[in-house]
Amino acid sequence: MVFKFLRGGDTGMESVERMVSTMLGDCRHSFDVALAALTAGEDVRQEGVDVRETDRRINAMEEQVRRALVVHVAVQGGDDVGLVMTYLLLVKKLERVGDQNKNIFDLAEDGLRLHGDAPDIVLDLRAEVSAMFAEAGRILLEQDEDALDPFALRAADIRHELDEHIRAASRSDDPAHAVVPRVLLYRYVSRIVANLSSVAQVGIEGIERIEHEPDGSDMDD
Amino acid sequence: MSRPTTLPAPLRLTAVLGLLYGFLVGVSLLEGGIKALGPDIQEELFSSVDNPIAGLLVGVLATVLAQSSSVTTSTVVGLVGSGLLGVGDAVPMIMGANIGTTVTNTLASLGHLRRPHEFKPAFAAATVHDFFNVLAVALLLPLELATGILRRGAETLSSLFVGSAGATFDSPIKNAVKAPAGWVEDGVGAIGPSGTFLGLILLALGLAAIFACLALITKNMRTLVADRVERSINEVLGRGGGLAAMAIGIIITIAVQSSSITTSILIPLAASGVLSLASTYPVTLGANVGTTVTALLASLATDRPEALTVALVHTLFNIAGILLLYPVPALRRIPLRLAERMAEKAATNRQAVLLYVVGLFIVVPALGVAILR
Repeated sequence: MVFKFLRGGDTGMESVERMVSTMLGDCRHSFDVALAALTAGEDVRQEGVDVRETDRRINAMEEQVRRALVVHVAVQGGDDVGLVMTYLLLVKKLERVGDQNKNIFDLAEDGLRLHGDAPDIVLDLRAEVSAMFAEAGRILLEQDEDALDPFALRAADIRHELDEHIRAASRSDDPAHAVVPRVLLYRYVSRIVANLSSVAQVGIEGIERIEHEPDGSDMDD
Repeated sequence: MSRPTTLPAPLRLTAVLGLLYGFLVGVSLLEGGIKALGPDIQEELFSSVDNPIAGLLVGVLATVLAQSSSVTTSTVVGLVGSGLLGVGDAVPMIMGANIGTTVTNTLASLGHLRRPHEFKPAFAAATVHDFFNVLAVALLLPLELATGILRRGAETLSSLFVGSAGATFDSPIKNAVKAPAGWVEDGVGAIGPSGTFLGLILLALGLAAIFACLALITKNMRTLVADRVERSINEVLGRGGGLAAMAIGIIITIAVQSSSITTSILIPLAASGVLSLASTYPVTLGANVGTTVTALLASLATDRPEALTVALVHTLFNIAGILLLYPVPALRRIPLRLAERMAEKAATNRQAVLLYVVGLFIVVPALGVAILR
């Protein structure tokens, strides 16, 4: 025990960084699995187990980060209060992403499938959004300020594109049972992208800047 | 996303070693000051602590006023080292210091007074320390007065290290601090004062050195080991208490040289629900043991084995308290239940909180000392 105390190791904030990084990895995994369920066959039970288990891990990790941050403030005082608030916000957003991935899976469980005759924007964006999880993690880890603006711009483009599809679907003459699940799917993906953009922005700029789109409009995540 | 540090760690560690040396010089000055007071003043000052209850209350009061049991116990060790205070008279004072030190985290818990859902667990986490220490004194002081078991145990240990009571031991640390203490004595003496006046000045300088050095050691060590403390507390969270938590309490307290720091860190964690009462309890008990290292260090600056004996009594008392009250679940739960009930009452009645803090830590000890001296 004494040697363990004397031995060096991660600081409190380093271990929080590590946990945030793990959460991002888990979020990406559940996004990939949830999207895979949308193109899978009838039976998506295995994907369901995976998505829900990953979501539980994400929630548990959020709780662990919050506890670690309280310990950090209790031990180190208020010097890092900005950083603490930043991480609180980050993990909340990642926890939301976990929930949104679960919501996407629920659509698959309820029968929504994207294969077949019609190509879909979500299928087109799937690889790109998945890669955004890794990119957000890299931006946070390397504190790459230069990458922030291009990342935020791309996220905004994707969201506008999805908004267009939501509007188009709302105006279409297709039956509600066909339109509603797709609109929900676009909305979930849009919120996931918004949250990822916020994660990168808050992680670089802290909480003093209210999150907004590059054009200055509010970011609804 | 990293935090800038101010003083480099090796420099801070060197400063801590310098402060530790200053602390030991302070103990030596205290000893010199007491000797210079003269027998009449010495008799007048310490006659009241012949009564063990008065001694106990003096220990409580002194610690509440100094906000540090380490200052009280180091001073008591210095007094015993000067030959002025007997081990028998010092033991209740040391036990009193153990009760007095619990005021700091109780005061820390008052910061949550306006938020009842936070205050209740915070106050329970603070008062579990109070109840444990009061219970330990209630059990062990009568036993000690009747049998002298702690003193005899400490004497046996002390004789193994430095020889028997009445002898002098050639402490290398005492020799190392003798010269600067002598320079201060000579310097003050050269200005003019002598006898009792010189003694009082040396006494004040010694106390000031002990107080200031301990405060600065604690401040610097807290910065030096903050990351390790943070990791250790996260480990307590992971393991959920028990002996590992107790060991962590000991280690953190030795590292920061203050049980109050250790126990006060626990308060916001308890208030926010991060740490349960059952998990804070063993850390607190570990802090009780860890804080005894300061008195052991102080005893190295004296040349009488009795000083080490009284420092060891402090350690043995805290270990005995744990052995008596912790292993048996029914006994272990007594301070927990009392703290929970107290917190329940305190959450709905703020006057009870005030009455408890002022009564236990100020009124009762002050009245007791006034009546019993």
